[in-house]
Amino acid sequence: MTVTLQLPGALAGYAGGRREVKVEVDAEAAAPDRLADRPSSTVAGVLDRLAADLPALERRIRDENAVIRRHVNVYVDGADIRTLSGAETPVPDGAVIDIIAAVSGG
Amino acid sequence: MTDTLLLAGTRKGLLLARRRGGSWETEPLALPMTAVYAVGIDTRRPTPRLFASATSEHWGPTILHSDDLGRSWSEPDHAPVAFPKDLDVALGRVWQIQPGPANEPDVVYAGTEPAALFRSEDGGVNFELVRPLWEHPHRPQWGAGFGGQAIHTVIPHPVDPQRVLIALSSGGVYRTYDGGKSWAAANAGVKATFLPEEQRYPEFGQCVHKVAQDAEDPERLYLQNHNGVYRSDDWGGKWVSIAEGLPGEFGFAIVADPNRGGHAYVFPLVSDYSRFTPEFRCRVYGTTDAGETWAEVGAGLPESDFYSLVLRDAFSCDAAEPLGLYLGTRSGELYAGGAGGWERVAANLPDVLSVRATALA
Repeated sequence: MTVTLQLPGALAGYAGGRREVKVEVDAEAAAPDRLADRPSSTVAGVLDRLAADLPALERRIRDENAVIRRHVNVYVDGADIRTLSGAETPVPDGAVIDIIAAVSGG
Repeated sequence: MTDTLLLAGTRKGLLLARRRGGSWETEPLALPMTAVYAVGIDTRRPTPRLFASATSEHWGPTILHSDDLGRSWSEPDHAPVAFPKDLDVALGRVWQIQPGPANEPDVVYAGTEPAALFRSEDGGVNFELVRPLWEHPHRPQWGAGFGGQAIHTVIPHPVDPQRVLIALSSGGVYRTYDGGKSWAAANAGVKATFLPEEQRYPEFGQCVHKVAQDAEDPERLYLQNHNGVYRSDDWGGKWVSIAEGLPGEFGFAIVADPNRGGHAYVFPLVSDYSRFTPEFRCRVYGTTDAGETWAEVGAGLPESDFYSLVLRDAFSCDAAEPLGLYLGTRSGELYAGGAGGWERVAANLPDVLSVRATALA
C-alpha cells in the first residue's frame, strides 16, 4: 500500500528537496480499527518505514524512542492523530499524512 | 594580527565571524531557528573540524560538523547522539562538544541533557553513551538548574587518556581514572549555598557552573560555582576558594589560558540574588597567579548600564599570541579582546549561548 507524506518546507531538505514523499508500507493485519474495505497500516508503521528509507527525515518527526516529538503535529486525512489513537491511528491505503510544525518557541 | 575564526552559537542560529588583517567580518546566521547550545573546534586536524549542536524546538537535536571552516555542514542520516533504546530516554540537547586529548585524535566527547556523557571514536560523527556514568548510583539524586539538567563540562586529562572529568548542574564534578568504567564525585571543598548551613559541603549536588584546565599543570583546575570560584591542585581531589579579590563570586563562565599556567579569566556577577555585573559594568577579571590575585582585563567593554550577562559557554579564548578572549552576552553582543582592549564583533544577535575561537594559519 502507498501513503503520501506532506512535509513543511523546513523538512524538505531531508527528503531530497521534496515536499511530498510516497511511502510504500506493508498493510498490517493487526492494525487496530482496520478499515473493512481497504488495507491499512498505522502512523507508527508508516514512520517505521520512513526510518528505514529516510532516517534523517524520520528523526525530525520522532525521537530515538519512536515517540512523535512534542511540537510536531501529525494529521491523517485531515484529522489530528492526537484526537484519534496517536501513533496507532490507522492509515488506509492512499491516505495523506500531513506533518506540521506546532505552535512553539519565540 | 593573527587571522581568527570565531563561532558563536545563539538561541536562534550560528554566527561565524572571521578576523582578517585586523578587521572582523560576519556571515549570515547559519542553522537558523535552532538553539546552538554548544560549538566546538577540533584543532587536532590539518583543517580544524568545527562542531555545532543544533536543537530545533520542533524537529529535535542534532550535532553537525564542518571540515571546510563553516562553508558547509554535515551530519549522519542517523542521530549522531541518541540514548540506547533500552533506557527509554530521549536526548533533549547537547550542551558540550569537547575534542579529546592529543594522544586520542579521533575521540570527541559530548555532554547532554538529560545529564549524560557520550563518546565518539570517529572524530565526532557518531557517539555512544558512556553507560557507567549514566548508571551511577548518584544520578537519581542529581538536580536541575534553571536551564535544565545537563553535563556542560568535559575535561579530558591532557596526559592520561584514562582520566576524564565532567561537571553537571546540579550534581557537581565527577571524574574517572579508568577510561569511564567507574566514576566518583570530586566536590570536596565546594560549597552548596542553596542548602541549609550544616549541609553545605555535600559529597555531590553542588551546582558547578564551569571548570577549566590549567595550561601547564595537568592536575590544576579552576571552577566557577553557583556562588564561589575555586582552584584544585590535585585534579579535583580538593577545592580551595580563590574568590578573594573578585567583585562578585557568582558567575557562569571560567576560561584558562591554554598557553600560560596560572592564567585564568572569569566574568563576575554580584550574587545569586543579583545576577548583574558589579556596578552594571561589563567586565572580565583575570588572574596570572592561579587565583591569588585578580585584576580587570582590558578596556572597551560597556562601562555602565549593562544589565546583561555571559552564560557558561559563551566565554572562550583562542591559543594565539597574545591571547584572544571572546565573549557573547544574553543580549546578543559579541566581543573580542583581552589585555590590549576589547572590540565589538557583532550586535543584535539572539542570546549568545556558546563561543569558541581559533587562530587560523
